[in-house]
Amino acid sequence: MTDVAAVETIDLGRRYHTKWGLRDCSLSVPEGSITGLVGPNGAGKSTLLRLAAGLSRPTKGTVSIFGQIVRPNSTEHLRRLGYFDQLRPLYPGLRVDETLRLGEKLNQQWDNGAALELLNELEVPLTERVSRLSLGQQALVALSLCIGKRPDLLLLDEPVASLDPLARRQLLETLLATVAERGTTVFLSSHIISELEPVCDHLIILSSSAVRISGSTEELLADHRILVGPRGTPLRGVEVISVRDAERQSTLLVRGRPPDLDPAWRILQPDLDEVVLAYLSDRIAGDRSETSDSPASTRRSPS
Amino acid sequence: MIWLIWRRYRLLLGLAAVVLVGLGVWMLWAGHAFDAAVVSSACHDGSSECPIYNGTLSLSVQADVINFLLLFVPCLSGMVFGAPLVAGELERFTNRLVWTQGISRTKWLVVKWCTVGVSLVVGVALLTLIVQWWTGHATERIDTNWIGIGLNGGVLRPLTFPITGFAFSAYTLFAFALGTALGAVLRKTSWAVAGTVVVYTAVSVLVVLFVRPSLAPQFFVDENPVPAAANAPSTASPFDATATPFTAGVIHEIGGSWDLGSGYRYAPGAHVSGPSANVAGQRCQALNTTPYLACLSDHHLQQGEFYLTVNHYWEVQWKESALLVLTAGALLGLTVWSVRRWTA
Repeated sequence: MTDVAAVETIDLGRRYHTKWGLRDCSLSVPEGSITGLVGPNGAGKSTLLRLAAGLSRPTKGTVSIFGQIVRPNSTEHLRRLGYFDQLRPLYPGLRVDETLRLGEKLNQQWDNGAALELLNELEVPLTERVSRLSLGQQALVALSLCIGKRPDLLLLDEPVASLDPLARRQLLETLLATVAERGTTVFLSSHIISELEPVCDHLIILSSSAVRISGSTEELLADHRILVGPRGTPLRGVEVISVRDAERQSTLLVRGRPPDLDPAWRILQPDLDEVVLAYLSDRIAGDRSETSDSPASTRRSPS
Repeated sequence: MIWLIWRRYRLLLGLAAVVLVGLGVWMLWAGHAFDAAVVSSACHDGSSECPIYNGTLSLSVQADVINFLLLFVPCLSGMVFGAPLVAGELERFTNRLVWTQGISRTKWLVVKWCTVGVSLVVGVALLTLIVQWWTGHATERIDTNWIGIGLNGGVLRPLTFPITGFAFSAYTLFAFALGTALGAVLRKTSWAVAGTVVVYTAVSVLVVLFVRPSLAPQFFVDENPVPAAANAPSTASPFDATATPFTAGVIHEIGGSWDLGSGYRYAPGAHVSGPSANVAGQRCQALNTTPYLACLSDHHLQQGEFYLTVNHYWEVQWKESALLVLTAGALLGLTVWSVRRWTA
């Protein structure tokens, strides 16, 4: 891995009229990683990916790809990236093979073999019009258009949303097999963590237009613990991410290694799903922050 | 890139070609029917049997319909090809597909605009060849006033001029550029279509009212000519009621010209400072004390009819076409600016 991040944003912000779609976003996606971007609907995931693809213009800050600042209207960054839009726009009147021809005509470098391989493997009919394909097949055509560019970076916005479980697995498996060969960096978003968990080695959690946390999945798992103990017991030296109170006991998700604890507390290892949910539901923790001594429970600076 | 445009527009452009060819064939057929009618004795006799006025769809009605349809060609081009050129892609989000391939937005737009625009202009230019032949047939028979609204009275008439010569292609290019620019700025095909109709119509009317009349020197017919004898001392009134301004020479000159209406002007050579001729003329009209004509003569005013004559036809054609093409270029610039600024 080199020093240059595949995607790096500094104080990136994008405002739509009066509302910020993304705000003060600083993050980096390591080269060669498969980084998942998780967050609820409207968290700013698509905004971030569109900014990285050069489709949108930052209101504030910068986004760079492999060290180069992305500017709409420049083609330099386009050569290195494949962008898969959430809406999977394709020309419905074009046949599948004509859609690939579009890719060939509109790109300086084009690997038709790679695109065809993907489609043939999953038996997408090449002579069918795009409008007559199933949603899953359309997603595969859109993906093959990205793969054919032989990009160094794939930006995939909700690639498996609205696909049935079989199509979902097919798409992700094909994707992984293809990118593994070339060491392509993948930055993909989803609002469902379970979709990303099996494929990602890095995770960025986005909520309310800002980055909550980012890191490798291993680090995230190693850094977080679940504490279960009597309700109302003060707790020092850890950062409480979320709190769930039952009648007698509280369940806390904390960051950092808990120091010597009252033996009343039980320590459990969370899975990724629980970590993500804790970050996404931290507004609840904010309401209950008086139960813990940690003032940092509601605010996280991007790491 | 060009491949993609042809692939996506082949059906629509094919359809447009069929429409244009259909109109062309109709004109050729009707033009020959006119020729046949001219030799028929019924028309010479002024008989009601003349085939130009009779039949299930008389030739004069057909001429009006053809003229009417031709007038819509530029505006339709703007609505069908211009308005959705950018807006259609934005609405279907396919801009996100093409703008993330390997070519810049500017190149994408300019190539697309030129490919579709040039196709339209070539189609219309070919049709113009037939139109010129067709209106030629009509203008030869101006005096007889056979042919309906658009074609009677010559190629400079407001409803005929824009569908002939270079102007037909230039108006088509302008309407196309207008539709594209409105689509790029408004980002909605439907609004751009409506906007194209409104703006195109407004521009056409404004050009007729304020631009075209001044593109060439106007021909003036003084309606109160001073008889040659008036120069000599005579007891006769200097303004002889029997003198007609429409001498044979004048009638020949204004044959087929566009009548701009009556008005006042200062006599050539008169150095007058003061109100414009029309204002001064109206003051004379309002005066009750002095005779009207004497007042005109005192102020070196002439009252008469202005014409744009046929011998200036090509001059007006190229000037107006050049203005339209320049405007289309400016509209392309606006479209490029809008597309480069567009942000998802």
